[in-house]
Amino acid sequence: MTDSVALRAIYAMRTRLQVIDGNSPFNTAAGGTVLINRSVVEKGDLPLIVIVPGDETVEPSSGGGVADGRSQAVKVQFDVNVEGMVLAEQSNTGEQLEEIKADIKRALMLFDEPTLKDGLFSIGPIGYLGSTPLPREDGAATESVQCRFRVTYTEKFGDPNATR
Amino acid sequence: MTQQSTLRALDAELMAAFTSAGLSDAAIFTQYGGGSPTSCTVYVDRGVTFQGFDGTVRNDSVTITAFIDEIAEVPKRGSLFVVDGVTYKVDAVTTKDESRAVCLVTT
Repeated sequence: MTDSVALRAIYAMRTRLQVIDGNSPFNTAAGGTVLINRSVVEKGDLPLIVIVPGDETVEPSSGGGVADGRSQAVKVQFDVNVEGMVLAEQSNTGEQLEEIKADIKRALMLFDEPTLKDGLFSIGPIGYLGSTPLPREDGAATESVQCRFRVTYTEKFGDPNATR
Repeated sequence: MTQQSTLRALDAELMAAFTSAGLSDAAIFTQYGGGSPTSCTVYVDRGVTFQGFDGTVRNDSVTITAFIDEIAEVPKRGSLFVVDGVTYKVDAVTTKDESRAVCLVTT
């Protein structure tokens, strides 16, 4: 049984993020641990990345199905947050999160491959919506940054596993 | 008798009692900026905090309570306490009065 298009998009993003190995041009080795929807992690496991699926929005004019004369193509915008977590100290607070943010953007936003792929099959283009930093707080040893992405694809009405 | 002398006498009495009960630790304090290492007695309190957005990292949250009579002045950011071989760096002073300072520290 195949996975839904949304899950395949998440897996495709994970695959791209896993190339972050600490070697040039990357700043961190966060790709060694890429988790999906993990709520709490230990600081000893850092650096790491957590993929958090977010809202799925459907273009109102699509998705009605053929019964009422409209298309079977459901145009979906799938928002996915990618959170990078790194260790930080008093002397470099705010710097590490910029490094992992750069790594996440470099890994996911490929100029010559703007479309996410599941093997040889295209899923849809991935876009960057922005980020929010959370620098190390006093007393803590970690900091993180939330990067927001959107994957756009067309799903078959009534069959979330099929693209159109 | 002033509030300062009362608080310091009270804290000294409490510290003596807690030390007898094994509820305090000997420490070496070094003020940020080149201060001389000073012996003192502190309370170390440990907790946890969570940092992050959707995912969170569990962090240690350690506070050290030190006494002005022993360390002479309120610790500055970057000051060090060495307790049982572990070095704690002061990130922030969260409480202080005429007698004591409570510091948020990292290891």
